[in-house]
Amino acid sequence: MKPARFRYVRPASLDEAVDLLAEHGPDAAVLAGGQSLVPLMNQRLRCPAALIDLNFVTELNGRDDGEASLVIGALVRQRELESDGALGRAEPLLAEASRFVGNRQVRNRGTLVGSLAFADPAAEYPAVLVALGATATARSVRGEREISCANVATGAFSCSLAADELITSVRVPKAGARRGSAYTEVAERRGARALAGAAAVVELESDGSVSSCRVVLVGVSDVPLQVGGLDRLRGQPIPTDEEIRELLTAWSNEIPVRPDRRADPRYKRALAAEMSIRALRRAAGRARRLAG
Amino acid sequence: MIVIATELISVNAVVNGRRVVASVEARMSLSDFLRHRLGLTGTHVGCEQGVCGSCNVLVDGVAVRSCLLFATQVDGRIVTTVEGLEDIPGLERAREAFIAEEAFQCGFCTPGFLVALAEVEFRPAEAGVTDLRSFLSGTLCRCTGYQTILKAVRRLG
Repeated sequence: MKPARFRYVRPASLDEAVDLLAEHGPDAAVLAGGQSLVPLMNQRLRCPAALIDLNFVTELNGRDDGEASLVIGALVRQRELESDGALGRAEPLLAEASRFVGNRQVRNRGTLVGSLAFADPAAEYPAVLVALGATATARSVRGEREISCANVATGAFSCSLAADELITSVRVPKAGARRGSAYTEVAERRGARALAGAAAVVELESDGSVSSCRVVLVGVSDVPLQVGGLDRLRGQPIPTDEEIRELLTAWSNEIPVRPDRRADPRYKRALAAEMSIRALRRAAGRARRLAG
Repeated sequence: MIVIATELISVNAVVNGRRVVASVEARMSLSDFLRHRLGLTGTHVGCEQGVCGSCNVLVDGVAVRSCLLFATQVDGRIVTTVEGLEDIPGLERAREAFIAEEAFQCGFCTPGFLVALAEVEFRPAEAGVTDLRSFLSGTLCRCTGYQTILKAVRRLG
């Protein structure tokens, strides 16, 4: 199918882009990679009156691999985050999760920021950004603000951005010397939508005890779902496999799961527990090795 | 400067080495532009949702779905379709490998696979691709002849 007619608008600067967004507001769609938006437009599930094409706004191409944080602009393609991509060494968790995102041609075009803003419950990157404690910078004619990536998605395919705002970049805090991370996922086919996935980040103290621990689930709830009850691990030695299993199995019995015709709630909860366990174990193991 | 188009918009690109200047509707996909306006029907359109990969083309040397790009977005870019792969070293080897392994039945998906491989100059292993199945997973074969395609691509190194 072909998209409905729209007014095509191509700003050349960020100021022009936010002016246009203020003018067109809720009737406009913002185009970066277009790997989620354009399929919806082709099926006429979305028929924006105006399409604001950001691809010629060079300011959004920025990336900064600094000491304290990694900043990734709204036009940086997902392909760059892969292990053999230009930013592949900057954040191993983004690289690991990228292997599960679509396919190479889609990642060549799709953007990290676009995936965050699109807020697909089965998308890998939003959960990874939450696990990493990343923040997003949102810009409008009213100014700029920082949002925790944990507060971007408000429901399935909906986010907390105002109609005149766009995310210009995300900022990922750099890993300390003793931070380990892992991403794992189950899907029916390679690159297909996740039945369930989990991103885990574990940080250790110099004595080897857990200083922080975060696990975030993909495809289970409407938004990236943070595994609860992990605070009690703080200050403790890395839990054994049995302890991890016990903790997460108990937790997963209580969680709300999103209806999924491919997986009934019981199966979904079992997958959520299993993915969390695997990701947490692997992340903890990596943190331990890094801590030496 | 803001470019605004309600009706037609210009596109000025190089397609398979040839300068193309045209006026298109903003909603025209690159795949439709290539097929219907330029007559380059080697780019196949399977799903128009970015799933099947039959419409893969190179834009500035990078393999992308032409059904998910609007023609106007390649303004100022270099587009290579399956018809333009002759200039990329290794095409002949890829052809031979596909023929030797009978890596097609109906052939509908073949342009998509060839363009995906053209991005890595038909030498995926040399280009750092460690997982061939994953690399090829972006293109679907409706005859499900994946094993022969995989065998052909393994020959390429």
